[in-house]
Amino acid sequence: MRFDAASRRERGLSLFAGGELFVAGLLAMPSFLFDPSLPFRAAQFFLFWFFVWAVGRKNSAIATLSVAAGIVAFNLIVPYGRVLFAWGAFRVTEGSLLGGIEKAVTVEGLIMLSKATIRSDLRLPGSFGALIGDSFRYFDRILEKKGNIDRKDITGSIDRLLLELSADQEAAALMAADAAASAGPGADATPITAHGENGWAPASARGPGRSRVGRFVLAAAVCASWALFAAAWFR
Amino acid sequence: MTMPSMQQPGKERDTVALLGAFCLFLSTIEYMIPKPLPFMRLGIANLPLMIAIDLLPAPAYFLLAAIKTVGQGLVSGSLFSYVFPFSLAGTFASALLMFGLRRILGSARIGFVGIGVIGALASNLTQILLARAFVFGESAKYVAPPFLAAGLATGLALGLFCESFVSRSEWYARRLR
Repeated sequence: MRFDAASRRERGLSLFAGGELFVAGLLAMPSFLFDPSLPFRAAQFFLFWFFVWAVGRKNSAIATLSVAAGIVAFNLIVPYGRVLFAWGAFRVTEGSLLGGIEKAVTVEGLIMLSKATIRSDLRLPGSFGALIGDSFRYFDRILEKKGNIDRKDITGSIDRLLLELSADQEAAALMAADAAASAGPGADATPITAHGENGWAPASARGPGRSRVGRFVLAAAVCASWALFAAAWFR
Repeated sequence: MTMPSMQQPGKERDTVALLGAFCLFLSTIEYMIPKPLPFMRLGIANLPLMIAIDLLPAPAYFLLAAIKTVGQGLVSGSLFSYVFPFSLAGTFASALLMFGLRRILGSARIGFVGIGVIGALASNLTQILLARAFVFGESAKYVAPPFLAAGLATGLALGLFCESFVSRSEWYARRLR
């Protein structure tokens, strides 16, 4: 079994459906947010971090640490609680240090959970979901043609790109109207076709996106998060 | 005084979808720009919202703002994190002010530069208030000056770009008809 990012991403796509990941994320979120213990919340953070790694999402440890350090540093500015040590006039206090760490773990944990469970092929229901789907289809086309954006003539090249996309859309709408007229009711639009770390690929490149193993893994991950929550409450 | 709200429903929907896609594209670019905190964005994804200000009626305009926010959450995978409510609040605060001021004052009294600066400041101020409540507490006042200054600079730059784009763009002229 290969463990490079591309293989993990492919495996994640074939194991989990976007909707199931979303539901798993929703189920796990309260167990993290309402966890009263910092060490257990940190353990949940590492669980989510592992899941982000397992599904092949890009995740920079340096960025995570620097954001966390920033949050802690800003919390240290306002001192409260016992003074742990001092550098000149700057005092590091226990209350502000622990408060900062807790906020950093919470912010980063939610980002990890979100990264692991929100995939861009998630289909939202209703007419708003359909409109977002249309935007993602256009987004696919923009990414295909982004090389046409000329740094020396940004305004002109964006204008040409918008004209081209609008013309394509008008042509596609005409073709769809013709096809619908000949095929009758029930014709559907193209699905949203996105995946990867801010990367997008045709629907054919995606796996089926749902399996029993995948559901079991998601259920186990959600249970693990709730088990940590329960352990924090009953320890 | 009031702006022309062009567009038949089909064309309007298409404009929303297309500008929504541009929001997603610019969000992806913004996502790649390093920043000190994940919710503190420069706001370049607001550009399509500025372009749309004279193109769309209020419901379609705020639908575009919603697409921008939810799409950003999907593209960057931040829908479950603090970043999402920060982005939602910032986007809607700036959309409300930009759209409202343009409709009330008209294009003769407020140009895209003014719209851009006000939008950026509204967005950043909202996010600072949220950061004060949820992340930094009192320390937010130390983050506020550089964050607002960055917003002022990007708002100005976006406004100038938008001014240049709408005056030269054939696509924009066609959509306005």
